[in-house]
Amino acid sequence: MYPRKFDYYAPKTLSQALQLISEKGEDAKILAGGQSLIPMMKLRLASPAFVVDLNGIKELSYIKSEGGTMKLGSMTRHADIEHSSVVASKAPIMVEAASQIADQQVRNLGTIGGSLCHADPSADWPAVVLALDAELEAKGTVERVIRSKDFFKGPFETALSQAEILTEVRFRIPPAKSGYSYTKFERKAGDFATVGVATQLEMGEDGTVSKARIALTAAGPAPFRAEEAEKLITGQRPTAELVEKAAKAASDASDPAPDLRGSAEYKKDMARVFTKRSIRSALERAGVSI
Amino acid sequence: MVSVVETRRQNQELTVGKPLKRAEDPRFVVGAARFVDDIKLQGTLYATFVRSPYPHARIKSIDVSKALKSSGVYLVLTARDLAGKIGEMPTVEGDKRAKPTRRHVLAFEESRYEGEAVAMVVAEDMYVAADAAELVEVEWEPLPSVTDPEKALNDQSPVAGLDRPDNVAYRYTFETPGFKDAFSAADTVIEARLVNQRVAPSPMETRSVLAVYEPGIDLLTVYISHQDPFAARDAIASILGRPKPSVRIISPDVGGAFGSKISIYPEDAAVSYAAVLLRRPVKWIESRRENLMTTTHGRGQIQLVKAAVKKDGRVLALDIRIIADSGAYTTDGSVYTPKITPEMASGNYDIRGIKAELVCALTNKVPQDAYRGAGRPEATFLIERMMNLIARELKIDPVELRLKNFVRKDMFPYKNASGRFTYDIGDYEGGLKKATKVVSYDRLREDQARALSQGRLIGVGVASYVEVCGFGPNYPQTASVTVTEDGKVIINSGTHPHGQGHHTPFAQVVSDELGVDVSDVYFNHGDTSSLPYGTVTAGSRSGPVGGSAVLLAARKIRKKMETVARKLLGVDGEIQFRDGKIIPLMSPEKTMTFREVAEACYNPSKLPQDMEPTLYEYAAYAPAANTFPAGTHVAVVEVDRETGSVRLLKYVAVDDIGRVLNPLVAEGQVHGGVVQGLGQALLEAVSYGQDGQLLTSTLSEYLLPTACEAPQMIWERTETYTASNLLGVKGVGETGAIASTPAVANAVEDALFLIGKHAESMPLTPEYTWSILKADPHHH
Repeated sequence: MYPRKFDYYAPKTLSQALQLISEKGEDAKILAGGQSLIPMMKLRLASPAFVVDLNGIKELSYIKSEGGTMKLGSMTRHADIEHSSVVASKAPIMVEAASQIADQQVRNLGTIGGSLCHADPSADWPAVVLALDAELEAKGTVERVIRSKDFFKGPFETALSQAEILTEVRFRIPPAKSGYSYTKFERKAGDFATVGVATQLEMGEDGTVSKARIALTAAGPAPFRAEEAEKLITGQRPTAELVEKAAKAASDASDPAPDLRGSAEYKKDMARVFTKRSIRSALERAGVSI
Repeated sequence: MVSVVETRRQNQELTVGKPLKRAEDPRFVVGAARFVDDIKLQGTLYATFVRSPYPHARIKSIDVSKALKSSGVYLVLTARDLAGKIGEMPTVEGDKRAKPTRRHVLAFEESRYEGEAVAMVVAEDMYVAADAAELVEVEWEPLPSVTDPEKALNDQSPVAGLDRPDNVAYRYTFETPGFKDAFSAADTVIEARLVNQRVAPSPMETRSVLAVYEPGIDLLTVYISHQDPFAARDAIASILGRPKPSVRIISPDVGGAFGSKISIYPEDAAVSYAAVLLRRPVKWIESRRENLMTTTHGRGQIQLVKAAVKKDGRVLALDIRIIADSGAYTTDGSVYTPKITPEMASGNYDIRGIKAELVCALTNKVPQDAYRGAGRPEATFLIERMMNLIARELKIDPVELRLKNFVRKDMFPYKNASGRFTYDIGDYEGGLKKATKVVSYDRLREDQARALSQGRLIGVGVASYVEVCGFGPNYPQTASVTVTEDGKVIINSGTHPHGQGHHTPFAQVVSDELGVDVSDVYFNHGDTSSLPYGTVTAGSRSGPVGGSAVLLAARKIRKKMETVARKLLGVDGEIQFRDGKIIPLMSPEKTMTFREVAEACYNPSKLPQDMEPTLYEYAAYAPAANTFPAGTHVAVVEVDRETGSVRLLKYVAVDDIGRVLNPLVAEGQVHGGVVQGLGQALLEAVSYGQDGQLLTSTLSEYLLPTACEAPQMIWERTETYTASNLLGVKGVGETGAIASTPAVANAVEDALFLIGKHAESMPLTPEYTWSILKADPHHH
């Protein structure tokens, strides 16, 4: 449990960090909260020659609500989100998700940006940012904005290039008449998800679902939006039968890998069960009973 | 025999029995405890091990030259370097039916399980050591392997070790005289195959060793996280070929053991040898991955059971075949632990005949050893799972079935079906009735029916148990008591706490004997230089045997102080020790303080002629017999029909552990044990892949229960007094882990019974339960 030798850098500014990673190239690894990288280094599954630690960069840690947009710096800790009253009032799905990530010690150090960039196919945040249709701001030689839908490419693979750093997660604050749910199935407290479903719904005045975003984690090589399921309920007055259909559609879209958390068959069925539960819970919070 | 505590109970308020908080807790809570890794010695070097990546392989060659050339590396050892210098690992002793295997300290020519050490690197720090270990080049020739103990016993199976072609470590069979008649008198025979999976003891503190050699006095001191310091001394002395007095073991604070720190491991011997060779302290702290891979596992039994029963529910006889998974080597722990299982398989029941065959199979896995309960949990699991199945088959309520078969109160002392154990005393019916009352059993059954009508699956699981503790007879534990001149008391305990909390209950025993305040009683343990002898802390022996040794030593102190007080005061008659005073009952005005009498004991001129000065007494206590704690636990669960998840709704434990020295400490033991046991029922399994590779080598794969998984627990007791030791204590360290696994498994199965299903193996993971729920009932 001792890592191989590496050089350690602790830049104080984002531009210093960017310069370091462009200099060091493929041999550099960014250290955010360290809750995945450090264990991997200790098990010698990862052995970067250079570690660039972002923890000294204060400008990357913030939670702001500005003109209907929620902005979180990439180095914001899970625990800061979990306990933020701004997040609780504007985007409660994030609080619900944050409180289910690993354990308190991990949440105290782990960051939203680190989790998104690590792109573990079973992580919680990816599903949530997908359900919020968040934009992810990255800086490298240029600044660019990547839609969350386009960010996750595969297991541990994102749209970021080696020379880029994720700087901000931002999204339109959901309107008042909306429902949300992050429903996670885990074998025990603190475990990665066997399956996790994030649902963010908006209700129209006529009692139909005006907008639905449903995203699954641990249900495929990368987290994904269950677009068929979303289509099925959008514009519809929700019924138990419809929710059941949507859940089935999400399950059909899933492609989980078998592991100690379960066989592919089981996980596919759990994708169905937890999509159903997630939609039901979101509807309930939107004041809709079915 | 009426104990001293018993007579004193009549005269004054006792400290024994009070729920005092544990004296050691503050240091553990604030992180100020002293574990092996907290001991920092100047000049310490660090060891790491090169381990086999294969379940079974021939070691063709090892090239250490590159590793040796690394800067900061002091030593690299392989089996060839040790040959002729030190001995081999102990195998099995005593029973001729057990087949010894040769096990080298570092694997020589053949490695038999993934993670087995083949070379040791000692360097100036752990980073250098770990880097150098990667430079050790081993030429492996992978060999066919076997990890399934049932398959290991097939004729065509690959061999787990080249020196035992039949893969059999031990075969043990018996048939009681009445078996055949009893079995043939049955109306029906109920059969089951029960799988008690391998689990990893997983102490919070992993194995740790720090060896220091002082050449001037030729003394090897080994700081080690261990349950049995004296046996560790003897084993290390034996492997290193040293006289016992030239090895000193210090086991400081130990963060859990559960049976996995009873034996000496290859790393302990290698590190000790390196310290002698290098004349520098050498430290090795096991990683969690190494702990899951190379520290002994437990349970690991496949049980094939036939129960001969009458239509009315009377269980007449058991025909049992047990295949135990010994792992790669025959050790005492890997064969004598499962030996207890058939001997205790009749549980709390008056079953007249038993026929048993135990086969311990060698497999390419780390050897098994004791794990909290050691053989008895497996026995309880066997009979209690059977009782559930019998109850279902005969359509008798599981509580009623147990009541019908219990050994009755008037039948003690009762020789159990195997004839191997005689239960001295108990009240199984009383315990069960109390448990069903506390859990409102009848109402639960109504709730269950109501829930079912709404489509919900509630399960109620009952498990009664009787187990063996004390171990004993003929196996002493030791203690000394010292009273210093300032009237303070020091206990030196041969039994070693590693989470049990010996200090406070033992201080309570001394407090009652000597009339001193509990806070004036100090507690030392774990140093072989401080007592002449000591034995293992296991089998819940500490209270009954270790506690009795403490009492004996305290009694000797009291006797001496009484004699001195009589002389100093010029009085005869009874003398009371109370509230820090020594009071002659006939002339209380002459009362002296405890401290004054203690001080006098250090002054030869004040002592009766021929009395030795100072105030120190040693005692070794061998119990007359074992003890037999018993009880009934009830678990209530809800099974989620969609996911298969099991939620524990309630847990009631009723235990008869004899007299309780400290109910708070005892309840803590029950809580810990129950959670550990439900971990086996619901979460834990050491798993190996098809290729024999360990799949559960971190705690994200090997799932341990935490406070979040612990149910709401209610603990109640019944009490029958055992005369097997001086304190009337039966032992409480393992009861929780023994009862909770079958209680929870039975509860889940009770829920599955509602829809005509049953479960065979554990853990009852959501997917496993889901697959049972999904299965077409017509296929069963």
